Formats: sequence, structure tokens, C-alpha cells
Amino acid sequence: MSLTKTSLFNVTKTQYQYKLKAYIGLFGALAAVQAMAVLFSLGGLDSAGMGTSNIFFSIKMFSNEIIVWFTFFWAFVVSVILTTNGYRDGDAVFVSNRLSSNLANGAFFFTCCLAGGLSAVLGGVVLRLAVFFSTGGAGIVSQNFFLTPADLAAGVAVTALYLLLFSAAGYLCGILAQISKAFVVILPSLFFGLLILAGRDDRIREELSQVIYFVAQESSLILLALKIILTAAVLFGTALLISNRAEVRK
Amino acid sequence: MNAVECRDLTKAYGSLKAVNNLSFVLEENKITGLIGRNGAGKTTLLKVVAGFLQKTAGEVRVFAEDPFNNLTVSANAVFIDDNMAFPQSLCLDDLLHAAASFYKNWDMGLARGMLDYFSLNPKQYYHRLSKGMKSIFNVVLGISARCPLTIFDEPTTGMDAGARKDFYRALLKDYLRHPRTVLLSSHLLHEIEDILEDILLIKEGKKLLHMPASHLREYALGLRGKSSLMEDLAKSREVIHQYCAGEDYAYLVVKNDLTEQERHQARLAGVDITAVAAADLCVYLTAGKKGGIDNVFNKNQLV
Repeated sequence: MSLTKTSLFNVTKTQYQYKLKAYIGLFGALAAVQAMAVLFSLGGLDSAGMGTSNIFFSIKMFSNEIIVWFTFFWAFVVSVILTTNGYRDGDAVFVSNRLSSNLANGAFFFTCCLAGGLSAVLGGVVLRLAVFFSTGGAGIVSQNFFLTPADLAAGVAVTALYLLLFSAAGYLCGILAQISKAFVVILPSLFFGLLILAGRDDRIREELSQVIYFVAQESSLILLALKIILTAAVLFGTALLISNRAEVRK
Repeated sequence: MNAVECRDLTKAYGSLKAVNNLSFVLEENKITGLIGRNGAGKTTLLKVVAGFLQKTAGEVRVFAEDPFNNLTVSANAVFIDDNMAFPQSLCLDDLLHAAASFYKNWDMGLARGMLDYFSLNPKQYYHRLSKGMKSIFNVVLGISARCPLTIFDEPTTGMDAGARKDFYRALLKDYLRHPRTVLLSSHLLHEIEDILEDILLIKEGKKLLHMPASHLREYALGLRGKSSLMEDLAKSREVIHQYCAGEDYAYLVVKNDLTEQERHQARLAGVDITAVAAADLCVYLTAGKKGGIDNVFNKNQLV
């Protein structure tokens, strides 16, 4: 029987298409997570009230912030899941090598970020509708209530970008945990340890803030995109290098 | 070009050498049986050849390339065992389609036909199948993929006798139509003996022998007779196995290097000479301790 020739691109593409079908359940999880977040958001994020003896008014703020945070969490978890034994060995059942598997995973979580970004922003629209129908239109401050297509697009882009950051970070964490189970303990300890330290020590808090501000306080969309894509590329590239010689189906 | 070449191949897990200095060559388009006891290193060897595991030392070549992490080898090899990680969201038919998208020589008609024959519903989900049914689906995939290197690692786990027979027959038929290199590991040699061309017997990670199955059937002779006679025959000869039945009756398995004259004399002296089945011979060759399991019981009785 003659040997068949194949290319990295073709195999990666086939694997990506296979993953979209095989891991459809992860998108179901996204829907569930966001539905839950919409429910939590219905109560409003912040409220204030004031008044005299005759007049009293209260302000309630609604935001899709919870939906977005839930989606971040989902993206992180999905990326970690992609690196676990079952998923990794699932790749090795068919044609693959470590590089094609990693690239297909990258393409898959990139798709997740787009889907997550779009649905998180649309979740905000659902929230608006819910508020509109539950409170009646009269009490709504129209500023920020109506979304222009440009706002919508910018919202999707920014959310998707941050999702990409969480995904790439999750993927690296997952790969590290694959290399040594010690990281399952080390990584969360590091994360929570830093949180506690930052709570106690102003200097550490200051320095951590600087790191976070690098991506959180950027007002130019293009610069933000550059910063995030670069950071994500470094995280993903590290994961790729670490796992490229790993054994499968052990 | 040879399909698989190993030279002093070693794969170690810590201090344990699962595959130890193994050298062999598999020619293209042959069916080879990899035989060995539990823990002999069969699965490890197959996984190194399939490119899943990295060798520790030595050399391994599959289609003249290093198989580990190799896309060309992966595209031309299929590895079937009882631990196939299929996603739960896909039904059998989806999995066949997925396989078709990966393997260029995939034969969908054959795959569907076999699913139908084994009464596997294409809309069924893999994780809901029984153990035997899973194995059947795995081998259907392995045969239909028509990969130049097809590896089956204990493929018949959980299958009933009928299904096993059908699988061997299907494998042989499709092999005859589309010859390919098949590497089949099993400890049920008597079942697969008929379809094997070559047998590679390993023990504790080392090669015991590698020869055509037909030679293995003539490799040894069984001698049965009085113990006193047996002692003479055993002298200066490689005894593979011996078994004493009662005080003065013995069964010897020796390498088949008796001359015609020696046989004649033995027969005249009342020794019964028989052929040794390949499966039995493999058990004798790979036996752990002299005396076999009986020794354990005999020792216990003494205490």
C-alpha cells in the first residue's frame, strides 16, 4: 500500500473541524453559563436612592459585567479542558502530532472567544430587553440603553480580546498541569497567595496593578488588540514549546 | 522499504525497561503477530512504533522515519486498542465520517457494511456500547482505515467467540484485497495463528524469536515416555519444557533438531513423538519459572 502524504495545514484543518463537532457540548455550557449570568444580572449591579419627605427616587444600574466575567471563566475552563488527558488522547486516535493538535486547539479556543464575545454582548441586549419589559420603558435613562452597531461591534471585539487572554492563560496552565501534577497545587497557590499578599502589602498591590493596567487600562482599541494578541501569543507559544515533545496515549 | 525497523530499541519507565534492547525488522505488507505474556512489553512496543511514546535508547524507524510525533507516520498508521478516546457527543456514524476525513484510503462502504453486519446502530453513541461492542467498532475503524501500517493491540477484548472469528476473517479478507502491514498483539495465539505470516515473541521486553508462523509450528517436538528414557534424550539438548506425570512418566518439549535416526530409535524405545502447537510452544518459551504454577502448590504443601 502506498504511503499518503499530508501537510500540517491539512491535518490541523481537519482536526479543527472535528473538534468543532466533537466539542459542541462546550458551547452548550457557554449558553448555560450565560443564561445563569443573565439571571444574576436581573437584580441590578448597583443601586442608590435619595429623596426628601415628598420626593424619593432611586437609581438602579444594570450591566452585562457579570455575563462577561462568567464568560471569561468559561473560556479559561474550556482551555484547561482542552489540555486534559481525554481530549489530548482523543486527538491521537486519528491523524495528528503535537503541533497540529496544539494549533487545532488554538483555532478552537479562538473560535470560542469569538462566540463568547458575541454572545456576552448580546447577553447585554437580552438584559436590556428584560429590564425594559419588567420596569416599563418610562423609568429608563436612555443614555447607554441604546446600542449603536459600532458600540456593539466594539463590545464584541473587546470582549473577544479579553477572552483570548483568558483562554491562552488557561491553556498554558493546563499544559503545565499536564507536564507535572505539582502545578495543580502550585498555580492556584500562587494565584491566591498573590491576592492575599496584595491585600496586605501596598507595594505588591501597586506592582500587580501595573501588570493588570497594561491590558485593562488601554483606551485605544488597536493598541489593546496589539497588547493582548502579543501576550496571548507568548502564553500560547510557551504552551506549544513545553508540550511539543510530550507523549500521548500513555 | 521495510515497514518497521527497530535496532536495540529500549523504552524505560524509570528503572523498569518495558522494551529492552529489541531489534527486529517488519517487511511491508505482512501480518505479524506480537505475542507475549502480560507485562511483556507488547503495548509499550506498539505505542513506540505508533509514535505515541518516545524511545529511551536505540533506533526505531517506521517507513524510514522516526515515528515519534511524526505527521507522516500518523497519517499512514492506525492504532487500535481498547482505550479509544472518542468524544461522547458523536454517534458512531459521526465517528466514521470523522475517520473518513482523516484517512485518505478510508472505505465508507466497508465500514457501514461491517457495522450493519455486527448489528451496531450508526445512531448509537460509543460510550453507551458494551465492552465487546466497543471492541467491534474499534476494529471496524481499524480495518476500514486501510492504513499502510495497521496496529491492533489486544483488539478482541470482550468480544465473543463469534465476533472474534468474524474479525479475523474480515481482517484477512480486506488484507488480501488491500495488502498492508498489520501488527497484531494478542495472547490468544491459537486463535490468530492461522492468519499470521510472522510471529514475534517477546518476553520481559526482549525478543525471544521472530520467524514465520509455519516455522514456529515445526520449531519444537513433544516427547512423551518413560522418565528414564527421557533423561537420555534430554541430555545435550535444549529442553524448552518438561512435565512429569506421576513417578516415571514424563513429557519433554525439545528443539526440533533430532535426526531421522534419532527419531527412529526413540520411537522404537517407546517414546511418543508429537508436534507442539505454536500457542503451547509460546507459553512454554515465555514461562516465568521452571515447573510452572504447579511449583507454587507443591511448595505450599510442604510447609
